[in-house]
Amino acid sequence: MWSVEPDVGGGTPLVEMRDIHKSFGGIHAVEGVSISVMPGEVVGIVGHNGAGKSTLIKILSGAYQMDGGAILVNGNRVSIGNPRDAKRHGIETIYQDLALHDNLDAVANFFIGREIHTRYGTLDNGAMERAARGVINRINPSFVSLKDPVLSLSGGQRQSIAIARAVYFNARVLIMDEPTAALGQRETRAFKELVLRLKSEGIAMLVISHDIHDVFDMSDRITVMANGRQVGTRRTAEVTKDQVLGMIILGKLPEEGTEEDLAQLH
Amino acid sequence: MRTSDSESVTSRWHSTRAQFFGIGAFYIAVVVFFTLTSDYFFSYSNALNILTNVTVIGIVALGQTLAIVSGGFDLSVSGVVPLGAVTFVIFSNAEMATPAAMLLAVLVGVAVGIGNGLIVTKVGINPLIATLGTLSIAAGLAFALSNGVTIPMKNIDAGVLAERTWGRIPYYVVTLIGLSLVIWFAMRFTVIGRRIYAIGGNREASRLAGLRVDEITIAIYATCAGLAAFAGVVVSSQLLAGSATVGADAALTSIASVILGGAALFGGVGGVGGTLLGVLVLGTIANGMALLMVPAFYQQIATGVILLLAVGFGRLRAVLSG
Repeated sequence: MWSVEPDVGGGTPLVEMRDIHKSFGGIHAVEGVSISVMPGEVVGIVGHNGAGKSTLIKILSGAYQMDGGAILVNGNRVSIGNPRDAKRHGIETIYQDLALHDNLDAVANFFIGREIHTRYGTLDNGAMERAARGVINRINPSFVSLKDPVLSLSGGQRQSIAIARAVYFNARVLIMDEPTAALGQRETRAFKELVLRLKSEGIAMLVISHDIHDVFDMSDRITVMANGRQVGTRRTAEVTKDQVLGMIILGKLPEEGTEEDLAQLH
Repeated sequence: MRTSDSESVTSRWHSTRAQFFGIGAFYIAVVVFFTLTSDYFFSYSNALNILTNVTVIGIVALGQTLAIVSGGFDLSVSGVVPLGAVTFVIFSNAEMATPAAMLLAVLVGVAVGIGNGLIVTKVGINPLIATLGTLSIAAGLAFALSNGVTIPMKNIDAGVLAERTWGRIPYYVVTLIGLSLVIWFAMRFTVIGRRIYAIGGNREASRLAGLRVDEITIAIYATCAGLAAFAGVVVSSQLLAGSATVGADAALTSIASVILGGAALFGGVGGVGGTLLGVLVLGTIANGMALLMVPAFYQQIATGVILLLAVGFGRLRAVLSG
Protein backbone atom coordinates (compact mmCIF):
# COMPACT_ATOMS: atom_id res chain seq x y z
CA MET A 1 0.00 0.00 0.00
CA TRP A 2 2.55 2.56 1.08
CA SER A 3 4.90 1.61 -1.72
CA VAL A 4 2.61 3.32 -4.21
CA GLU A 5 2.53 6.52 -2.19
CA PRO A 6 5.60 8.67 -2.80
CA ASP A 7 7.07 10.63 0.09
CA VAL A 8 5.08 13.84 0.37
CA GLY A 9 7.96 15.60 2.08
CA GLY A 10 8.11 16.78 5.66
CA GLY A 11 5.17 17.95 7.73
CA THR A 12 1.68 16.71 8.38
CA PRO A 13 -0.80 16.51 5.53
CA LEU A 14 -3.70 18.92 5.82
CA VAL A 15 -6.02 16.07 4.96
CA GLU A 16 -5.32 12.39 4.70
CA MET A 17 -7.68 9.60 3.66
CA ARG A 18 -6.41 6.16 4.66
CA ASP A 19 -7.50 2.83 3.21
CA ILE A 20 -10.99 4.08 2.28
CA HIS A 21 -13.64 1.49 1.41
CA LYS A 22 -17.13 2.13 0.05
CA SER A 23 -19.65 -0.23 -1.52
CA PHE A 24 -23.05 0.37 -3.06
CA GLY A 25 -25.01 -2.86 -2.81
CA GLY A 26 -22.53 -5.47 -3.99
CA ILE A 27 -20.44 -3.03 -6.01
CA HIS A 28 -17.10 -1.96 -4.52
CA ALA A 29 -16.95 1.66 -5.62
CA VAL A 30 -13.79 2.45 -3.65
CA GLU A 31 -11.45 -0.23 -2.32
CA GLY A 32 -8.52 0.64 -0.09
CA VAL A 33 -7.65 4.04 -1.53
CA SER A 34 -5.30 6.36 0.37
CA ILE A 35 -4.56 9.94 -0.56
CA SER A 36 -3.16 12.93 1.23
CA VAL A 37 -2.70 16.58 0.43
CA MET A 38 -0.31 19.11 1.95
CA PRO A 39 -1.00 22.81 2.48
CA GLY A 40 -0.66 24.63 -0.83
CA GLU A 41 -0.52 21.39 -2.75
CA VAL A 42 -2.70 20.35 -5.68
CA VAL A 43 -3.38 16.64 -6.07
CA GLY A 44 -5.05 15.52 -9.26
CA ILE A 45 -7.25 12.44 -9.27
CA VAL A 46 -7.67 10.82 -12.67
CA GLY A 47 -9.28 7.66 -14.02
CA HIS A 48 -12.06 6.39 -16.22
CA ASN A 49 -15.73 6.96 -15.52
CA GLY A 50 -16.67 4.59 -12.72
CA ALA A 51 -13.12 4.47 -11.38
CA GLY A 52 -14.40 5.70 -8.01
CA LYS A 53 -13.03 9.25 -8.08
CA SER A 54 -16.29 11.01 -7.35
CA THR A 55 -17.23 8.48 -4.68
CA LEU A 56 -13.88 9.06 -2.98
CA ILE A 57 -14.24 12.83 -2.83
CA LYS A 58 -17.89 12.64 -1.85
CA ILE A 59 -16.78 10.69 1.23
CA LEU A 60 -14.41 13.52 2.12
CA SER A 61 -17.06 16.18 1.48
CA GLY A 62 -19.60 14.37 3.66
CA ALA A 63 -22.07 13.50 0.91
CA TYR A 64 -21.38 9.75 1.38
CA GLN A 65 -20.34 7.83 4.48
CA MET A 66 -17.44 5.42 4.09
CA ASP A 67 -17.71 1.75 5.03
CA GLY A 68 -14.12 1.54 6.24
CA GLY A 69 -10.96 3.60 6.54
CA ALA A 70 -9.93 6.79 8.29
CA ILE A 71 -9.92 10.49 7.58
CA LEU A 72 -7.31 12.69 9.26
CA VAL A 73 -7.28 16.47 9.36
CA ASN A 74 -3.94 17.91 10.50
CA GLY A 75 -3.02 14.42 11.69
CA ASN A 76 -6.08 14.07 13.89
CA ARG A 77 -8.69 11.47 13.12
CA VAL A 78 -12.05 13.08 12.42
CA SER A 79 -15.49 11.75 11.65
CA ILE A 80 -17.36 13.29 8.74
CA GLY A 81 -21.00 12.24 8.88
CA ASN A 82 -22.53 14.95 6.70
CA PRO A 83 -21.58 18.01 4.64
CA ARG A 84 -21.75 20.24 7.73
CA ASP A 85 -19.00 18.21 9.43
CA ALA A 86 -16.74 18.57 6.40
CA LYS A 87 -17.28 22.32 6.26
CA ARG A 88 -16.47 22.57 9.96
CA HIS A 89 -13.07 21.07 9.19
CA GLY A 90 -12.49 23.60 6.40
CA ILE A 91 -13.22 21.10 3.63
CA GLU A 92 -15.25 22.79 0.89
CA THR A 93 -16.41 21.11 -2.30
CA ILE A 94 -17.12 22.44 -5.76
CA TYR A 95 -19.28 19.82 -7.42
CA GLN A 96 -19.28 19.10 -11.11
CA ASP A 97 -22.82 20.45 -11.51
CA LEU A 98 -21.76 23.21 -9.07
CA ALA A 99 -24.74 22.36 -6.83
CA LEU A 100 -26.34 25.79 -7.17
CA HIS A 101 -29.94 26.83 -6.68
CA ASP A 102 -31.13 28.09 -10.05
CA ASN A 103 -34.13 29.86 -8.53
CA LEU A 104 -31.99 32.01 -6.20
CA ASP A 105 -29.60 34.83 -7.00
CA ALA A 106 -25.82 34.73 -6.60
CA VAL A 107 -25.86 36.26 -3.12
CA ALA A 108 -28.47 33.82 -1.84
CA ASN A 109 -26.53 30.91 -3.34
CA PHE A 110 -23.33 32.19 -1.81
CA PHE A 111 -24.72 32.16 1.71
CA ILE A 112 -27.20 29.31 1.60
CA GLY A 113 -26.91 27.35 4.83
CA ARG A 114 -24.69 30.05 6.37
CA GLU A 115 -26.82 33.15 5.96
CA ILE A 116 -25.88 36.37 7.70
CA HIS A 117 -28.88 37.26 9.81
CA THR A 118 -29.91 39.84 12.33
CA ARG A 119 -30.47 38.79 15.90
CA TYR A 120 -34.15 38.39 15.06
CA GLY A 121 -33.43 35.69 12.50
CA THR A 122 -34.18 37.92 9.53
CA LEU A 123 -31.85 37.96 6.55
CA ASP A 124 -29.24 40.73 6.44
CA ASN A 125 -29.25 41.05 2.66
CA GLY A 126 -27.12 44.19 2.65
CA ALA A 127 -24.29 42.58 4.60
CA MET A 128 -24.47 39.41 2.50
CA GLU A 129 -24.37 41.33 -0.74
CA ARG A 130 -21.36 43.41 0.32
CA ALA A 131 -19.44 40.34 1.45
CA ALA A 132 -20.29 38.31 -1.65
CA ARG A 133 -19.48 41.17 -4.02
CA GLY A 134 -16.03 41.59 -2.47
CA VAL A 135 -15.03 37.96 -2.84
CA ILE A 136 -16.71 37.25 -6.17
CA ASN A 137 -15.07 40.30 -7.75
CA ARG A 138 -11.68 39.15 -6.50
CA ILE A 139 -12.26 35.72 -8.09
CA ASN A 140 -13.89 37.03 -11.27
CA PRO A 141 -13.67 40.80 -11.87
CA SER A 142 -16.08 40.65 -14.79
CA PHE A 143 -18.89 39.29 -12.62
CA VAL A 144 -21.66 41.84 -12.26
CA SER A 145 -25.03 40.13 -12.11
CA LEU A 146 -25.25 39.31 -8.43
CA LYS A 147 -29.00 39.75 -8.39
CA ASP A 148 -30.15 37.62 -11.27
CA PRO A 149 -31.23 34.05 -10.67
CA VAL A 150 -28.08 32.01 -11.32
CA LEU A 151 -30.00 30.06 -13.98
CA SER A 152 -29.14 32.88 -16.39
CA LEU A 153 -25.38 32.84 -15.72
CA SER A 154 -22.56 31.32 -17.79
CA GLY A 155 -20.65 28.23 -16.65
CA GLY A 156 -17.69 30.36 -15.62
CA GLN A 157 -19.83 32.76 -13.61
CA ARG A 158 -21.61 29.91 -11.92
CA GLN A 159 -18.25 28.41 -11.00
CA SER A 160 -17.06 31.77 -9.69
CA ILE A 161 -19.91 31.69 -7.19
CA ALA A 162 -19.05 28.19 -6.04
CA ILE A 163 -15.33 28.96 -5.66
CA ALA A 164 -15.83 32.38 -4.09
CA ARG A 165 -18.18 30.79 -1.58
CA ALA A 166 -15.56 28.21 -0.62
CA VAL A 167 -12.84 30.85 -0.31
CA TYR A 168 -15.02 33.19 1.72
CA PHE A 169 -15.78 30.48 4.24
CA ASN A 170 -12.07 29.84 4.81
CA ALA A 171 -11.68 26.63 2.87
CA ARG A 172 -8.38 25.00 3.81
CA VAL A 173 -9.04 22.06 1.54
CA LEU A 174 -10.84 22.62 -1.74
CA ILE A 175 -12.29 19.62 -3.54
CA MET A 176 -13.07 20.24 -7.20
CA ASP A 177 -14.89 17.73 -9.40
CA GLU A 178 -14.24 18.40 -13.10
CA PRO A 179 -13.72 22.12 -12.52
CA THR A 180 -12.98 22.96 -16.15
CA ALA A 181 -15.74 20.86 -17.72
CA ALA A 182 -18.20 23.74 -18.03
CA LEU A 183 -15.63 26.40 -18.92
CA GLY A 184 -14.57 27.95 -22.19
CA GLN A 185 -10.87 28.32 -23.11
CA ARG A 186 -10.51 31.79 -21.67
CA GLU A 187 -12.36 30.82 -18.52
CA THR A 188 -10.18 27.73 -18.14
CA ARG A 189 -7.02 29.88 -18.33
CA ALA A 190 -8.44 32.22 -15.70
CA PHE A 191 -9.31 29.22 -13.58
CA LYS A 192 -5.73 27.87 -13.70
CA GLU A 193 -4.41 31.26 -12.60
CA LEU A 194 -6.88 31.21 -9.76
CA VAL A 195 -5.64 27.78 -8.67
CA LEU A 196 -2.08 29.16 -8.50
CA ARG A 197 -3.29 32.06 -6.37
CA LEU A 198 -5.17 29.78 -3.99
CA LYS A 199 -2.09 27.55 -3.79
CA SER A 200 0.05 30.50 -2.75
CA GLU A 201 -2.45 31.16 0.04
CA GLY A 202 -1.78 27.68 1.36
CA ILE A 203 -5.07 26.13 0.31
CA ALA A 204 -4.82 22.44 -0.46
CA MET A 205 -6.74 21.19 -3.49
CA LEU A 206 -8.00 17.86 -4.72
CA VAL A 207 -8.91 18.09 -8.38
CA ILE A 208 -10.77 15.44 -10.35
CA SER A 209 -10.43 15.85 -14.09
CA HIS A 210 -10.85 13.97 -17.32
CA ASP A 211 -8.48 16.35 -19.03
CA ILE A 212 -4.95 15.04 -18.59
CA HIS A 213 -3.48 18.34 -19.83
CA ASP A 214 -5.33 20.31 -17.19
CA VAL A 215 -4.17 17.89 -14.51
CA PHE A 216 -0.56 18.23 -15.61
CA ASP A 217 -0.87 22.03 -15.69
CA MET A 218 -2.30 22.30 -12.19
CA SER A 219 -1.23 19.41 -10.00
CA ASP A 220 1.83 18.65 -7.91
CA ARG A 221 0.96 14.98 -7.61
CA ILE A 222 -1.39 12.72 -9.52
CA THR A 223 -3.34 9.78 -8.14
CA VAL A 224 -4.63 7.33 -10.72
CA MET A 225 -7.70 5.22 -9.95
CA ALA A 226 -9.16 2.28 -11.85
CA ASN A 227 -12.12 0.10 -10.92
CA GLY A 228 -12.32 1.54 -7.44
CA ARG A 229 -8.66 0.83 -6.69
CA GLN A 230 -5.65 3.07 -6.54
CA VAL A 231 -3.25 2.32 -9.36
CA GLY A 232 -0.70 4.65 -7.86
CA THR A 233 0.31 8.17 -6.99
CA ARG A 234 3.18 9.98 -8.71
CA ARG A 235 4.77 13.40 -8.58
CA THR A 236 3.63 15.24 -11.68
CA ALA A 237 7.19 16.36 -12.42
CA GLU A 238 8.41 12.76 -12.43
CA VAL A 239 5.96 11.22 -14.91
CA THR A 240 5.00 11.80 -18.51
CA LYS A 241 1.46 12.14 -19.79
CA ASP A 242 1.90 8.83 -21.60
CA GLN A 243 2.86 7.10 -18.39
CA VAL A 244 -0.21 8.46 -16.61
CA LEU A 245 -2.42 7.49 -19.55
CA GLY A 246 -0.89 4.03 -19.31
CA MET A 247 -1.79 3.86 -15.64
CA ILE A 248 -5.36 4.92 -16.43
CA ILE A 249 -5.86 2.54 -19.32
CA LEU A 250 -3.88 -0.50 -18.18
CA GLY A 251 -4.47 -0.06 -14.45
CA LYS A 252 -0.76 -0.74 -13.84
CA LEU A 253 2.19 1.33 -12.69
CA PRO A 254 4.56 2.39 -15.52
CA GLU A 255 7.31 0.07 -14.26
CA GLU A 256 4.87 -2.86 -14.34
CA GLY A 257 3.72 -2.20 -17.86
CA THR A 258 5.32 -4.19 -20.64
CA GLU A 259 6.62 -2.66 -23.82
CA GLU A 260 3.72 -4.27 -25.70
CA ASP A 261 1.18 -2.76 -23.31
CA LEU A 262 2.60 0.69 -23.82
CA ALA A 263 2.82 0.16 -27.54
CA GLN A 264 -0.91 -0.48 -27.59
CA LEU A 265 -1.46 3.04 -26.39
CA HIS A 266 -0.12 4.54 -29.58
CA MET B 1 -28.61 50.63 0.21
CA ARG B 2 -32.19 49.84 1.03
CA THR B 3 -33.24 49.65 -2.57
CA SER B 4 -30.42 47.26 -3.39
CA ASP B 5 -31.44 45.09 -0.45
CA SER B 6 -34.95 44.71 -1.66
CA GLU B 7 -33.81 44.10 -5.22
CA SER B 8 -31.68 41.25 -3.99
CA VAL B 9 -34.63 39.73 -2.23
CA THR B 10 -37.03 40.26 -5.09
CA SER B 11 -34.80 38.91 -7.82
CA ARG B 12 -36.10 35.42 -7.29
CA TRP B 13 -39.53 36.71 -8.16
CA HIS B 14 -38.56 37.58 -11.71
CA SER B 15 -40.06 34.47 -13.17
CA THR B 16 -43.28 34.73 -11.21
CA ARG B 17 -43.81 38.45 -11.58
CA ALA B 18 -45.33 38.17 -15.04
CA GLN B 19 -47.78 35.51 -13.92
CA PHE B 20 -48.53 37.49 -10.74
CA PHE B 21 -49.48 40.56 -12.77
CA GLY B 22 -51.26 38.40 -15.31
CA ILE B 23 -53.49 36.89 -12.66
CA GLY B 24 -53.94 40.35 -11.08
CA ALA B 25 -55.17 41.72 -14.42
CA PHE B 26 -57.43 38.70 -14.78
CA TYR B 27 -58.84 39.34 -11.32
CA ILE B 28 -59.68 42.94 -12.23
CA ALA B 29 -61.43 41.67 -15.37
CA VAL B 30 -63.43 39.21 -13.25
CA VAL B 31 -64.46 41.99 -10.87
CA VAL B 32 -65.48 44.27 -13.75
CA PHE B 33 -67.44 41.46 -15.41
CA PHE B 34 -69.48 40.61 -12.34
CA THR B 35 -69.97 44.28 -11.49
CA LEU B 36 -71.57 44.76 -14.90
CA THR B 37 -73.64 41.59 -14.82
CA SER B 38 -74.87 41.58 -11.21
CA ASP B 39 -76.46 44.38 -9.23
CA TYR B 40 -75.36 42.87 -5.96
CA PHE B 41 -71.72 42.10 -6.69
CA PHE B 42 -69.88 45.37 -6.13
CA SER B 43 -70.63 46.24 -2.53
CA TYR B 44 -68.91 46.25 0.82
CA SER B 45 -71.14 43.52 2.19
CA ASN B 46 -70.50 41.26 -0.82
CA ALA B 47 -66.76 41.87 -0.52
CA LEU B 48 -67.14 40.72 3.06
CA ASN B 49 -69.07 37.68 1.79
CA ILE B 50 -66.23 36.76 -0.51
CA LEU B 51 -63.64 37.17 2.26
CA THR B 52 -65.79 35.08 4.57
CA ASN B 53 -66.13 32.34 1.98
CA VAL B 54 -62.44 32.17 1.07
CA THR B 55 -61.06 32.17 4.61
CA VAL B 56 -61.06 28.41 5.11
CA ILE B 57 -59.42 27.70 1.77
CA GLY B 58 -57.10 30.69 2.29
CA ILE B 59 -55.74 29.23 5.53
CA VAL B 60 -55.22 25.85 3.88
CA ALA B 61 -53.57 27.49 0.86
CA LEU B 62 -51.02 29.28 3.08
CA GLY B 63 -49.73 25.90 4.25
CA GLN B 64 -49.98 24.49 0.75
CA THR B 65 -47.75 27.36 -0.44
CA LEU B 66 -45.03 26.22 1.95
CA ALA B 67 -45.38 22.63 0.78
CA ILE B 68 -45.32 23.46 -2.94
CA VAL B 69 -42.53 26.07 -2.76
CA SER B 70 -40.37 23.52 -0.93
CA GLY B 71 -40.91 21.07 -3.78
CA GLY B 72 -43.69 19.00 -2.20
CA PHE B 73 -47.46 18.65 -2.18
CA ASP B 74 -49.99 18.07 0.55
CA LEU B 75 -53.17 16.28 -0.46
CA SER B 76 -53.86 15.23 3.14
CA VAL B 77 -55.38 18.66 3.91
CA SER B 78 -58.66 17.31 2.57
CA GLY B 79 -58.62 14.83 5.44
CA VAL B 80 -57.05 17.11 8.03
CA VAL B 81 -59.64 19.89 7.66
CA PRO B 82 -62.52 17.57 8.70
CA LEU B 83 -60.31 15.91 11.33
CA GLY B 84 -59.57 19.34 12.85
CA ALA B 85 -63.26 20.29 12.59
CA VAL B 86 -64.44 17.13 14.38
CA THR B 87 -61.75 16.97 17.07
CA PHE B 88 -62.25 20.65 17.94
CA VAL B 89 -65.94 20.09 18.63
CA ILE B 90 -65.26 16.85 20.53
CA PHE B 91 -62.67 18.56 22.74
CA SER B 92 -64.93 21.58 23.20
CA ASN B 93 -67.91 19.38 24.10
CA ALA B 94 -65.71 17.65 26.67
CA GLU B 95 -65.84 20.94 28.61
CA MET B 96 -62.39 21.98 27.49
CA ALA B 97 -61.59 25.71 27.40
CA THR B 98 -62.00 26.97 23.83
CA PRO B 99 -58.37 28.02 23.27
CA ALA B 100 -57.20 24.64 24.59
CA ALA B 101 -59.64 22.80 22.31
CA MET B 102 -58.38 24.84 19.33
CA LEU B 103 -54.77 24.16 20.23
CA LEU B 104 -55.36 20.43 20.63
CA ALA B 105 -57.20 20.22 17.31
CA VAL B 106 -54.28 22.03 15.63
CA LEU B 107 -51.84 19.65 17.32
CA VAL B 108 -53.77 16.67 15.93
CA GLY B 109 -53.18 18.21 12.51
CA VAL B 110 -49.52 18.81 13.31
CA ALA B 111 -49.20 15.13 14.24
CA VAL B 112 -50.59 14.10 10.84
CA GLY B 113 -48.18 16.57 9.22
CA ILE B 114 -45.19 15.14 11.06
CA GLY B 115 -46.33 11.75 9.81
CA ASN B 116 -46.44 13.13 6.26
CA GLY B 117 -42.96 14.60 6.66
CA LEU B 118 -41.50 11.39 8.06
CA ILE B 119 -43.02 9.29 5.28
CA VAL B 120 -41.73 11.67 2.61
CA THR B 121 -38.21 12.12 4.01
CA LYS B 122 -37.32 8.97 5.91
CA VAL B 123 -39.30 6.39 3.98
CA GLY B 124 -38.76 8.23 0.73
CA ILE B 125 -42.28 7.98 -0.67
CA ASN B 126 -43.38 10.57 -3.23
CA PRO B 127 -45.36 13.36 -1.50
CA LEU B 128 -48.40 12.85 -3.75
CA ILE B 129 -48.71 9.20 -2.77
CA ALA B 130 -47.71 9.72 0.86
CA THR B 131 -50.26 12.47 1.47
CA LEU B 132 -52.91 10.64 -0.55
CA GLY B 133 -52.54 7.84 1.98
CA THR B 134 -52.73 10.10 5.01
CA LEU B 135 -55.64 11.98 3.41
CA SER B 136 -57.60 8.77 3.48
CA ILE B 137 -56.49 7.95 7.03
CA ALA B 138 -57.30 11.42 8.40
CA ALA B 139 -60.67 11.60 6.62
CA GLY B 140 -61.58 8.12 7.84
CA LEU B 141 -60.54 9.05 11.35
CA ALA B 142 -62.80 12.12 11.22
CA PHE B 143 -65.74 9.92 10.23
CA ALA B 144 -64.90 7.34 12.91
CA LEU B 145 -64.60 9.97 15.66
CA SER B 146 -67.94 11.54 14.70
CA ASN B 147 -69.67 8.20 13.96
CA GLY B 148 -70.47 9.73 10.61
CA VAL B 149 -72.90 12.24 12.05
CA THR B 150 -72.67 15.98 12.58
CA ILE B 151 -71.85 16.79 16.20
CA PRO B 152 -73.52 19.99 17.46
CA MET B 153 -71.31 22.31 19.48
CA LYS B 154 -72.71 22.34 23.04
CA ASN B 155 -70.95 25.52 24.06
CA ILE B 156 -71.95 28.19 21.53
CA ASP B 157 -69.19 30.47 22.88
CA ALA B 158 -66.67 28.07 21.39
CA GLY B 159 -67.67 29.51 18.03
CA VAL B 160 -65.90 32.74 18.98
CA LEU B 161 -63.92 32.88 15.72
CA ALA B 162 -67.14 33.24 13.73
CA GLU B 163 -69.39 34.84 16.34
CA ARG B 164 -67.21 37.80 17.23
CA THR B 165 -66.36 40.51 14.75
CA TRP B 166 -63.93 43.34 14.47
CA GLY B 167 -66.11 46.05 13.05
CA ARG B 168 -68.09 43.94 10.59
CA ILE B 169 -65.17 41.60 9.91
CA PRO B 170 -65.40 38.18 11.60
CA TYR B 171 -62.46 37.15 13.75
CA TYR B 172 -61.53 34.34 11.41
CA VAL B 173 -60.98 36.77 8.53
CA VAL B 174 -58.70 38.77 10.81
CA THR B 175 -56.96 35.48 11.67
CA LEU B 176 -56.41 34.73 7.98
CA ILE B 177 -54.89 38.18 7.47
CA GLY B 178 -52.66 37.73 10.53
CA LEU B 179 -51.48 34.27 9.47
CA SER B 180 -50.85 35.54 5.94
CA LEU B 181 -48.67 38.37 7.22
CA VAL B 182 -46.66 36.01 9.45
CA ILE B 183 -46.04 33.47 6.68
CA TRP B 184 -45.36 36.16 4.08
CA PHE B 185 -42.79 37.71 6.39
CA ALA B 186 -41.21 34.36 7.23
CA MET B 187 -40.90 33.30 3.60
CA ARG B 188 -39.58 36.60 2.41
CA PHE B 189 -37.31 37.93 5.13
CA THR B 190 -36.12 35.10 7.35
CA VAL B 191 -33.38 32.51 7.12
CA ILE B 192 -35.85 29.64 7.26
CA GLY B 193 -37.85 31.20 4.42
CA ARG B 194 -34.79 31.46 2.21
CA ARG B 195 -34.00 27.83 2.95
CA ILE B 196 -37.49 26.72 1.96
CA TYR B 197 -36.94 28.30 -1.47
CA ALA B 198 -33.49 26.70 -1.63
CA ILE B 199 -34.83 23.22 -0.90
CA GLY B 200 -37.57 23.66 -3.49
CA GLY B 201 -35.04 24.91 -6.03
CA ASN B 202 -32.50 22.11 -5.61
CA ARG B 203 -32.95 19.54 -2.89
CA GLU B 204 -29.62 17.77 -3.39
CA ALA B 205 -27.65 21.03 -3.53
CA SER B 206 -29.37 22.04 -0.30
CA ARG B 207 -28.23 18.84 1.34
CA LEU B 208 -24.67 19.35 0.08
CA ALA B 209 -24.76 22.94 1.35
CA GLY B 210 -25.37 21.50 4.79
CA LEU B 211 -29.05 22.35 5.18
CA ARG B 212 -31.06 20.05 7.42
CA VAL B 213 -33.33 19.22 4.52
CA ASP B 214 -35.29 16.44 6.21
CA GLU B 215 -35.99 18.41 9.37
CA ILE B 216 -37.10 21.48 7.42
CA THR B 217 -39.34 19.33 5.21
CA ILE B 218 -40.98 17.69 8.24
CA ALA B 219 -41.54 21.13 9.79
CA ILE B 220 -43.17 22.33 6.57
CA TYR B 221 -45.61 19.40 6.42
CA ALA B 222 -46.34 19.85 10.14
CA THR B 223 -47.11 23.55 9.58
CA CYS B 224 -49.23 22.82 6.52
CA ALA B 225 -51.36 20.21 8.30
CA GLY B 226 -51.54 22.35 11.45
CA LEU B 227 -52.98 25.19 9.36
CA ALA B 228 -55.41 22.77 7.69
CA ALA B 229 -56.61 21.59 11.11
CA PHE B 230 -57.05 25.23 12.12
CA ALA B 231 -59.09 25.78 8.97
CA GLY B 232 -61.25 22.91 10.24
CA VAL B 233 -61.65 24.75 13.56
CA VAL B 234 -62.86 27.77 11.58
CA VAL B 235 -65.39 25.64 9.68
CA SER B 236 -66.79 24.24 12.94
CA SER B 237 -66.94 27.75 14.39
CA GLN B 238 -68.97 28.86 11.37
CA LEU B 239 -71.30 25.84 11.53
CA LEU B 240 -71.35 25.61 15.34
CA ALA B 241 -70.98 21.89 14.72
CA GLY B 242 -68.33 19.38 13.75
CA SER B 243 -68.79 17.36 10.57
CA ALA B 244 -66.52 14.92 8.79
CA THR B 245 -67.98 15.93 5.44
CA VAL B 246 -66.41 19.39 5.30
CA GLY B 247 -63.26 20.36 3.46
CA ALA B 248 -63.23 17.60 0.85
CA ASP B 249 -62.25 20.14 -1.82
CA ALA B 250 -59.44 21.63 0.30
CA ALA B 251 -56.55 19.87 -1.45
CA LEU B 252 -57.64 20.58 -4.99
CA THR B 253 -58.72 24.18 -4.42
CA SER B 254 -55.66 25.07 -2.33
CA ILE B 255 -53.25 23.59 -4.88
CA ALA B 256 -55.15 25.33 -7.68
CA SER B 257 -54.86 28.65 -5.81
CA VAL B 258 -51.13 28.27 -5.19
CA ILE B 259 -50.38 27.36 -8.80
CA LEU B 260 -52.72 30.08 -10.07
CA GLY B 261 -50.73 32.50 -7.91
CA GLY B 262 -47.59 31.78 -9.89
CA ALA B 263 -45.90 29.01 -7.92
CA ALA B 264 -43.87 26.48 -9.85
CA LEU B 265 -45.35 23.00 -9.75
CA PHE B 266 -41.97 21.51 -8.86
CA GLY B 267 -40.97 24.01 -6.21
CA GLY B 268 -38.63 26.92 -5.63
CA VAL B 269 -40.96 29.64 -6.87
CA GLY B 270 -44.13 31.12 -5.42
CA GLY B 271 -45.33 33.14 -2.48
CA VAL B 272 -48.09 34.22 -0.14
CA GLY B 273 -49.14 37.23 -2.25
CA GLY B 274 -49.73 35.15 -5.35
CA THR B 275 -51.50 32.44 -3.41
CA LEU B 276 -53.93 34.88 -1.81
CA LEU B 277 -54.63 36.36 -5.22
CA GLY B 278 -55.30 32.85 -6.53
CA VAL B 279 -57.65 32.19 -3.60
CA LEU B 280 -59.47 35.46 -4.27
CA VAL B 281 -59.85 34.75 -7.98
CA LEU B 282 -61.46 31.36 -7.37
CA GLY B 283 -63.57 32.68 -4.46
CA THR B 284 -64.76 35.71 -6.39
CA ILE B 285 -65.75 33.66 -9.42
CA ALA B 286 -67.68 31.27 -7.19
CA ASN B 287 -69.40 34.23 -5.53
CA GLY B 288 -70.20 35.95 -8.80
CA MET B 289 -71.58 32.79 -10.36
CA ALA B 290 -73.76 32.22 -7.31
CA LEU B 291 -75.09 35.78 -7.63
CA LEU B 292 -75.88 35.06 -11.29
CA MET B 293 -77.75 31.92 -10.17
CA VAL B 294 -75.36 29.63 -11.97
CA PRO B 295 -75.68 26.13 -10.44
CA ALA B 296 -72.85 25.31 -8.05
CA PHE B 297 -71.43 22.42 -10.05
CA TYR B 298 -70.53 24.80 -12.86
CA GLN B 299 -68.23 26.59 -10.42
CA GLN B 300 -66.20 23.43 -10.15
CA ILE B 301 -65.92 23.30 -13.92
CA ALA B 302 -64.92 26.98 -13.98
CA THR B 303 -62.20 26.38 -11.38
CA GLY B 304 -60.73 23.59 -13.48
CA VAL B 305 -60.83 25.59 -16.69
CA ILE B 306 -59.21 28.65 -15.09
CA LEU B 307 -56.45 26.56 -13.54
CA LEU B 308 -55.67 24.88 -16.86
CA LEU B 309 -55.70 28.23 -18.66
CA ALA B 310 -53.40 29.85 -16.11
CA VAL B 311 -50.89 27.01 -16.14
CA GLY B 312 -51.22 26.74 -19.91
CA PHE B 313 -50.38 30.43 -20.38
CA GLY B 314 -47.44 29.99 -18.02
CA ARG B 315 -46.14 27.10 -20.13
CA LEU B 316 -46.71 29.03 -23.33
CA ARG B 317 -44.74 32.00 -22.01
CA ALA B 318 -41.92 29.74 -20.86
CA VAL B 319 -41.77 28.12 -24.30
CA LEU B 320 -41.89 31.47 -26.12
CA SER B 321 -39.14 33.00 -23.96
CA GLY B 322 -37.01 29.93 -24.54
